[in-house]
Amino acid sequence: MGDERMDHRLREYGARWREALPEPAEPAPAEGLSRRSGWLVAAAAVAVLVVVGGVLFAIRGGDDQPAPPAATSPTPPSAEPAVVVPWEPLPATHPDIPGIESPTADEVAAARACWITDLAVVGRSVEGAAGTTYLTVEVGLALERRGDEPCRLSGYPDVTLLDGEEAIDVQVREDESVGSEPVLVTEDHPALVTIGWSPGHFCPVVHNDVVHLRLGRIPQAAEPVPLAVAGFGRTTCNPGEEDNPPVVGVLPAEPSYYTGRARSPYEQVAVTGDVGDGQLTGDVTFTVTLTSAVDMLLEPCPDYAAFLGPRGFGGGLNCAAVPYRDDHDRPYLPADTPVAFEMRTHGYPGSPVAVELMWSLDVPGSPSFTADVTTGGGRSRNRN
Amino acid sequence: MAEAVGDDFPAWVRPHLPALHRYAARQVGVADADDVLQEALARAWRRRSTYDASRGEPLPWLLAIVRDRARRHRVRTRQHAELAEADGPVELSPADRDLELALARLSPRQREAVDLYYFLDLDVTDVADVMGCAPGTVRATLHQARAALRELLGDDDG
Repeated sequence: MGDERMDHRLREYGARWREALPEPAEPAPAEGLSRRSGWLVAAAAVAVLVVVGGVLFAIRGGDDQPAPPAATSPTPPSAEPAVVVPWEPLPATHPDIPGIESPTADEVAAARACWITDLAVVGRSVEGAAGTTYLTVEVGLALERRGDEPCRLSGYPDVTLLDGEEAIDVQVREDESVGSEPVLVTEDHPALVTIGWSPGHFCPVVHNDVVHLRLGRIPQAAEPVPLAVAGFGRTTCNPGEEDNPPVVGVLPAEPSYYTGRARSPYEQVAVTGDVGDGQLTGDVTFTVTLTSAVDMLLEPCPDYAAFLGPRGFGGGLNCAAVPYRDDHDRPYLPADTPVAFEMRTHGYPGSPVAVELMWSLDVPGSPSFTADVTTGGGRSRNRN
Repeated sequence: MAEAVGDDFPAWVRPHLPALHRYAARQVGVADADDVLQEALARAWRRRSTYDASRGEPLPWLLAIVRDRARRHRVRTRQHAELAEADGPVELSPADRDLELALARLSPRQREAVDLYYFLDLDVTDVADVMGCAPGTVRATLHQARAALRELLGDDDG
């Protein structure tokens, strides 16, 4: 009866919990903007956030695609003021516009593989959550021993937990849910190795003083000294609990936080806009101006993604009407030359409403233009 | 065989969003669940080519990614235990609070089974797929979890 009552209690609480949980945020359905493009905007935005937060990341739109070629011998821009490319209701084409990794996959692959003797523990942190303790070890270069040449590290460390001098009999499981990618270990950016274990409710009690890590290549000539860090300490075991030894989960080496962000070909394009006195009833017309710091080839032509309040819209940029052409007749944005693009969408009918207009190229790392708009005369404030 | 990712990733992942969101909320609390979910979806999208439909349904693969992102989020934000108490969607009565505290003290495996079965509302077969074990093992783990909860909560009846 007790088991049934607990089952009922959990079901009832779980149902209340689910009912009270807000719906997950997701992009609004969009006209002219496919779900794929919308998700790419969200995913790309998150990818950029992750990169800015510091984790090395690939923000490629596709796999193993070359970077877009630079414009060659472009036609010199005229002295005229910025042109306005006329509006065309072009559909999104979802071009594959790759980002630029930092470091690149080639740079990582070209680095020589780390020997264990290249490495040293340069930091250690411990965090606990929900009964599990996570030990994160920063594995950097042993500069005094081998200088500052970067090396490449990949895979899972070999982990041994010790109680004093004795190895503890614990299960060590590699967490394969996250996958493993090579990491470039540099003077400024160590690799991170994370080990987790749950010290409670396991019997018999063990006391972990030290954790030994073996990673990188191991010379065959002699047994190398493993990297050593302070361990997890003592487990707990309540009376009556079954014999249940601790399990240690190990994550593969991953990059530590980088201070710089990954590069995008469009990060050098400033995006500004002018909403003017746009009305939200009927058609809304505004312009978006792109000003690139460098000659920016518009091939492939990027899509754009925008939101007027909660309503998304987007499509293909009218690159064909951009008047600046290189020697191969490809459209491009000349450096430091504003090029405006006319945009149109439907306003909101009915009562006046204040909403936010947001526009960006549908490319990872693209800046965005944001303005507050209202009906009946519009108040705009550009924010980049 | 499970459905491969195909060209429309959002359509492929959309049916699983509620479960993924609930799982994220159980891991890091409601306030941070959206962030963790979006990180997980971005990672899943980047790694979609690694999903092997012949090895099973998408949900276990996706939940594993959410679990990883949640763990890294907790490390980054230095969150500690009893998140559900600090940030849950339900107004907690004293009994609910006691239950959440007891849940936090379950073994990871028991906690995982309880979260998947009672909070994500997955059936035993799906829980078994996610946890990589047999359905019978799931039932046994749930039974053990309920027994542990009764003991922690001082439920002496039966």
